[in-house]
Amino acid sequence: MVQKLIRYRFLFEELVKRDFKQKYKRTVLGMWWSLLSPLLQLLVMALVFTRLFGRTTPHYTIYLFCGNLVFSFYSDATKGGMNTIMGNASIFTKVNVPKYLFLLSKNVQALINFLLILLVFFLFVAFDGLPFTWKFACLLYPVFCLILFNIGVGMVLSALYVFFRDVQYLYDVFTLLLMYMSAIFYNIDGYPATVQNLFLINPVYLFIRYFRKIVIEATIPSVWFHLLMLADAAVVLALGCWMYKKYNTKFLYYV
Amino acid sequence: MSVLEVRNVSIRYMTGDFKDIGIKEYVLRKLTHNYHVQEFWADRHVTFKLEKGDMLGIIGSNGAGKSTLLKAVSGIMEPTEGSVKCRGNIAALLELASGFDGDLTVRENTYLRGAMLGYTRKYLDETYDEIIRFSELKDFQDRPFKQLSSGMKSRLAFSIASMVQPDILILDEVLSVGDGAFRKKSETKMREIIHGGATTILVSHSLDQVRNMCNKVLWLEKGNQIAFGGDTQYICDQYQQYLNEGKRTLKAALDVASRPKPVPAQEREGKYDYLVVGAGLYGAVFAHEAAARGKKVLVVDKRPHVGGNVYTEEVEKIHVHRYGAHIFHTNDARVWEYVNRFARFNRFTNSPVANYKGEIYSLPFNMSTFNRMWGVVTPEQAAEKIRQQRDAAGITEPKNLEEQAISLVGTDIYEKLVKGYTEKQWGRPCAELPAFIIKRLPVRLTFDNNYFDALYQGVPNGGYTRLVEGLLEGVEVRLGVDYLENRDELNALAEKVVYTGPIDAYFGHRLGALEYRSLRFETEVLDEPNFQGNATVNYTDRDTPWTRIIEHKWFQFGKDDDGGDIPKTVISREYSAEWKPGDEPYYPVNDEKNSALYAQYAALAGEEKNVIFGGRLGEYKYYDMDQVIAAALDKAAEEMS
Repeated sequence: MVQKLIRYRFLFEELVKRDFKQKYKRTVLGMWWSLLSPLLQLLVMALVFTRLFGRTTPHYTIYLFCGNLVFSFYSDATKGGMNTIMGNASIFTKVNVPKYLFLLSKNVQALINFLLILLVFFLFVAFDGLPFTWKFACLLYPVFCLILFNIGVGMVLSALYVFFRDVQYLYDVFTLLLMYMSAIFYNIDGYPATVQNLFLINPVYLFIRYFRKIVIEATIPSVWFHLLMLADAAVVLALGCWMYKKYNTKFLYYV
Repeated sequence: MSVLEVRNVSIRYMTGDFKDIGIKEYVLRKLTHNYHVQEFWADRHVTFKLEKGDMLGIIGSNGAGKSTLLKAVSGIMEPTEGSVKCRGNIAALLELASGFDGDLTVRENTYLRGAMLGYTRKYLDETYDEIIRFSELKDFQDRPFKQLSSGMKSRLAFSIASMVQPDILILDEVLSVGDGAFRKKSETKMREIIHGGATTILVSHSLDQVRNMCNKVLWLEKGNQIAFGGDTQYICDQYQQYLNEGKRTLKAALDVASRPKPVPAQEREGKYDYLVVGAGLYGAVFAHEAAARGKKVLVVDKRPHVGGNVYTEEVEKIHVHRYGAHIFHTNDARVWEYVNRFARFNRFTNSPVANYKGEIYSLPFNMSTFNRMWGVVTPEQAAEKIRQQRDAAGITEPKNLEEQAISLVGTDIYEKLVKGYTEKQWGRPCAELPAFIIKRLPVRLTFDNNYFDALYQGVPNGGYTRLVEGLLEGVEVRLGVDYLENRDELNALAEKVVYTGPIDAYFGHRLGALEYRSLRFETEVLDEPNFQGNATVNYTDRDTPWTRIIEHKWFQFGKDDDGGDIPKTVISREYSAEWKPGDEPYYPVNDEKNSALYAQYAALAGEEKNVIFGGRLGEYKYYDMDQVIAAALDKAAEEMS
């Protein structure tokens, strides 16, 4: 795989470039749009929910931003990833290239987007007066796990999407549900402990929670928390790889 | 080892309900057992092998499984059964124009496509300009791809793809790209790649293209391998026939392919009545005579030209006698008239000059010679001088060439004009040569300097090649074909063989090799109009290494075929050469030993059924041109009376 990555590095670079150009070429604001969009969303949410939840949750804007930041990265990467096989059918039916390159390229794009917003996020953090501690370095861990997780989900989705086109709509619904269940704009502290534990099943919630713990509470989550995140990512990634491997030569028939 | 080995490959293709149905539909159909997936074999038991540099054409009607097979070869699909083994990297150019991104510019698309084809960035940087130049899209480089016309798109696609340097190149209908001019250019480019040693697979609906470019053909029909092989013309013929018959079923295809191969007309046994080996005068005359009598004749010659040793080659508008001076002379009116039917002979008269250490003498030995030699003026004085010298030598019965010569022309002439030349010519002392050779030297007490005592004499205008070509007009000739190396194959083509090569070689020298005298020529073009003022000048001293110099333009009086002057001249220095097996044989050596050996070979030849041995080498006999023509005419008349 590593060898292949080296071999296909040039193609990979070109694919990333292509995805970027495709995304921003026709818009006036270009790259700024991808910054503006989550900030506007944040603004709306802040306006709407601060009155509802803001009083019980300290640093509510940052709290909200954490959720938005992580969740938009997740949904950006996976929604974009879903179409990578179908969208590149005209290529891989004619040239023998590894199909995961298309997905990885989309993920790189989503990651760059994420990092940009992350910078803005840190500006907000500074503005909010929250202290930057060495613990911020720990944020690399959830980002790393989330990348793997996104790739895994993207693989599963893109494979499923080849077989069932309605996966697209189902996933839209699913993402919406997932967003509500990720405690992005509300606080779960009020729920009973068992319900709180149920939230831990949601991997996206884990990543959001990790961010909040480091940034707002300046505490490092437990080792178990770390392992749980890694396990989630590993399971999904393994499932995705398995599907790609199994259906690698079958995709051809469906596109 | 093969570059590509496709062994018993079968590919199962799926089609049916599964495409574009949603989950609900899928579940419903599954539940009601209404979910149908049709599986069919797109390719079944396909087996072929390609070597380096091969060019395979895949033919077959639509849905034959060609593209599926290519996908398996290029690794896009996996064969359901069987295996594809390939050595080296593959570049597959399938349906080129698709797969571009309309929003990206031409330049960006070029890089993306190049990356997909496995180029490195460095390589693309280097070749980008060439790609744009080849595709003629210089002014469109930064335009979005979707603004291009479809022709331009194809051109760009082809130009990028043609930069590949793969071991295996797969082309699926990609040669029919762009307009006529570009198509031509692209074909040239493809040929370049192929000639670079790539193994190529070409899918084409143009049979002509397959016929012209491929050395192997694979015919698929409904996924089945109908034929594979190197007989491209024949397989294409069969396929054409299948198409013509209009029944597009597997059975029809197999039917056509199983028909026995019709033997091409010219290879049918007994097609030729005569196979003439050697396109020299004997062979050409015989072939002409046979053809004139309605026989079918095939002439083969191992040399790349016709004419044998009478071949003349045009250099600087001069007809150069490649294998030595040939001056046609005969007393036989029949032969003279015969040859004049095929070429116009000029009035050239052979009057060679001898150069003995700077002294110039007339050859043959005539009054001019004697005057120069002794200062004699009248024939009487000359005859007296010769008589004196002969008497002084006292030879009554000459036992060798030296004695014979002295008895004919006396010691002075012998020493100055005969001895050195003859010894160079034969490579041995005159005292060891048989007497009869010099009988051919005319001595005359006149001022006539015509070397040949012949009624008719001349050289064909336009050279001997024109004469031989005239003889062979309408006769099939294959040059560069060595009969002895392809004997069985060639024998099978004809009822009878006329063999004009060396008789000992025909029998594999099984009784020993006959000896020949050979000649060697050093020919050069000189930038002057006149080198020696005569067609031949013999160098009669022993020390000059060459025996004579031929200045070819004088066979035609220094003029070209149109009567124009020629500013240059071509001369050939002629050397006698020791003959070794493998050299060009010129003259047979008719001494006792070789004559006896020839007699043995002649006996063997008599036992050869359906082979006629003829000509100077076939009969191991010194023939002048007129004699060899007469012999061939006689033989033809006898053979076909």
